[in-house]
Amino acid sequence: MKNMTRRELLSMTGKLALGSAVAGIVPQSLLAKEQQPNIIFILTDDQRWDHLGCMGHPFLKTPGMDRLAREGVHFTNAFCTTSLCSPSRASFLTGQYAHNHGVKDNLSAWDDEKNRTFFDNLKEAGYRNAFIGKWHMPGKMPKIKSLDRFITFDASGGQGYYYNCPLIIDGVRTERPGKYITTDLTDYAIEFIKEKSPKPFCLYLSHKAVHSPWRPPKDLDGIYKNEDLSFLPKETFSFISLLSGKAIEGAPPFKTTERNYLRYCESLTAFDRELVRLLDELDRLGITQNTAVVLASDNGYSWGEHMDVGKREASEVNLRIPFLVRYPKGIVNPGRRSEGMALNIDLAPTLLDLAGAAPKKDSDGISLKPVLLNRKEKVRESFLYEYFKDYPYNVPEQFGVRTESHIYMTYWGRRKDAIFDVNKDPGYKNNLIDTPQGKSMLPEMKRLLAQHLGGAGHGK
Amino acid sequence: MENNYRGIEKTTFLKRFFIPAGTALLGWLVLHFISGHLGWIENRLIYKAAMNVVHLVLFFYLLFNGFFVYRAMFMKGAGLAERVAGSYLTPVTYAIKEIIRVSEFFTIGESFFYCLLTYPVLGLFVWQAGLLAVSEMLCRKYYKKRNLYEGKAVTAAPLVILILSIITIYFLFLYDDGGTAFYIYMEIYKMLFK
Repeated sequence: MKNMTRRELLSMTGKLALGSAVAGIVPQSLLAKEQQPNIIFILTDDQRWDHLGCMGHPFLKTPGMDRLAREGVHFTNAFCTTSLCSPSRASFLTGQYAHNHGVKDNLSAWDDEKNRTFFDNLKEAGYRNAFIGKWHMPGKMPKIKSLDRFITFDASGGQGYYYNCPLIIDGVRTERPGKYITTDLTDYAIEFIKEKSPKPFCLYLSHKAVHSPWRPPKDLDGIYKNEDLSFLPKETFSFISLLSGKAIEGAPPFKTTERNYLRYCESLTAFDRELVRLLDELDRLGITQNTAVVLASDNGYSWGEHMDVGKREASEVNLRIPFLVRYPKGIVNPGRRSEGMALNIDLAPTLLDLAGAAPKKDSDGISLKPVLLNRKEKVRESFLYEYFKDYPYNVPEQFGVRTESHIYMTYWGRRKDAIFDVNKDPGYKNNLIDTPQGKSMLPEMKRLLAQHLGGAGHGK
Repeated sequence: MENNYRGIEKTTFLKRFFIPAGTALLGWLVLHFISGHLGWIENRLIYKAAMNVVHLVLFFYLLFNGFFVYRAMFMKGAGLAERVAGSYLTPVTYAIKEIIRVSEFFTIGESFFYCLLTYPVLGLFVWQAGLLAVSEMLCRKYYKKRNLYEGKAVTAAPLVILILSIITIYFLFLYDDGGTAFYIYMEIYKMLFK
């Protein structure tokens, strides 16, 4: 090693001292600005985890989502912590379980005062933020000060319409005659990312698709009508909506399961087409490398599994969600699948970690950045599943803990507590709780559930 | 009223009430039992066909059996109150079954309130009222045609019930695709239970 002169030593000491001082005074966000990625989070509604072309679906074509999987990390064991729209949406925004953010069902309101979203931290880190699309949480329209653009809708109780859905654009109600909502929202999203600004952006694009009443755009209507549906579960039949407790909200049971399913797939294809358009726009703008694109759904969906069409009853297809992250500058070894359990509550800590923003101290989730960097394969061993009563839907309030191999469920009311083997019994039909295996697992499962709940359960 | 009908003899309670209403109830119970016990069918196509047929039959059976029960009781000389009670026997049993079923996860109050939900119970009850009104008027017409009844086939009471039933069904199921009715139902729910 070369000997330093006294002058060099003094100079270096001074630089180090200055560096330390600057690091202490100047916000980390400014120092990290060079590395701050743009962020796009795309949320679909009721999209099953396995409804992507790259997951081997028999006929569904999803080149956009397949591209994200090819160029990023595909979390194939991703879950929602509550399989219901509003609570899951609040979990994405806050990084919290439903019992902490308070949006427990589709009736309990979002609390502006209590809940901080990851937008707040990103704003402090120098981002300009936009929320475009479906908000769908009970209560008044939120006032999120850290949003620079807020485009949403409140039609049909916040569900919106596929066609002609009026939008509330920065507080101003605007009619959208002739517009197909997936395309309309994507137009606004592209407009936002094209705005010239020295700041990085965070875009939260929340689609209505593919929630019922599935309506594809006219040019995609019927594209799958001749497809063979024999791959649907054995217990599926055309009039599942005639089963007790299945048809709520006055839905006349005239549309068959098969017809609805095909419309679901066509609406999903329409979404993917818009995703392709958005990704192409990133390419055109030359910002693909430095833009983290995350795609997920609020919950899964059953298409005939355990004779259900819906999402509320706990089962693998309802709990599992698609979760894809593409960030060319921030992913090591892209194109791989991660088997570790990722959750909706991980979105907020992950985005803040990628952005170099201050973490949300009240978050229940864990940053997935180490997985993206290929430093870790998994970030957790178990997670809490909770579903609060959502009257009049015929599903009991329930709390459970899911590990990589089993789920332990406790229910309000008369239903017996249960342990299911999630790999051998994804429909959660074969209750192991009274078997020797179940009995031996029960104490540890109870301990994990109590640990996750921290006293927030129903006390059963 | 039955005195106005020549040729209708008032039969025993067993014949005029129990057999028509009981048969209808038994039919529903059998269909309901079958609908829940088809899982043993291994062949996928046969299973699917059987499930579709049984559930469609069950659905239409619930919707229309009151019409025929009412007519059968009418011809056996049952009075108006008996005819109405007999025709509602199956829907009421169905409602009780639903209350018991949903009490697995709702409180007792919520379970009873569930019956005011458009689909399935309230809608069925309202539909049934309209159907009985139609059945009443058709029975009168039948006897009038054969000179066994001297009154008018269409009178204010069944006509008003039919019109109210149609309006209510329209509001519950068709207006705003049932969305407004559901919204009102949920607002009442929140007032009562939240």
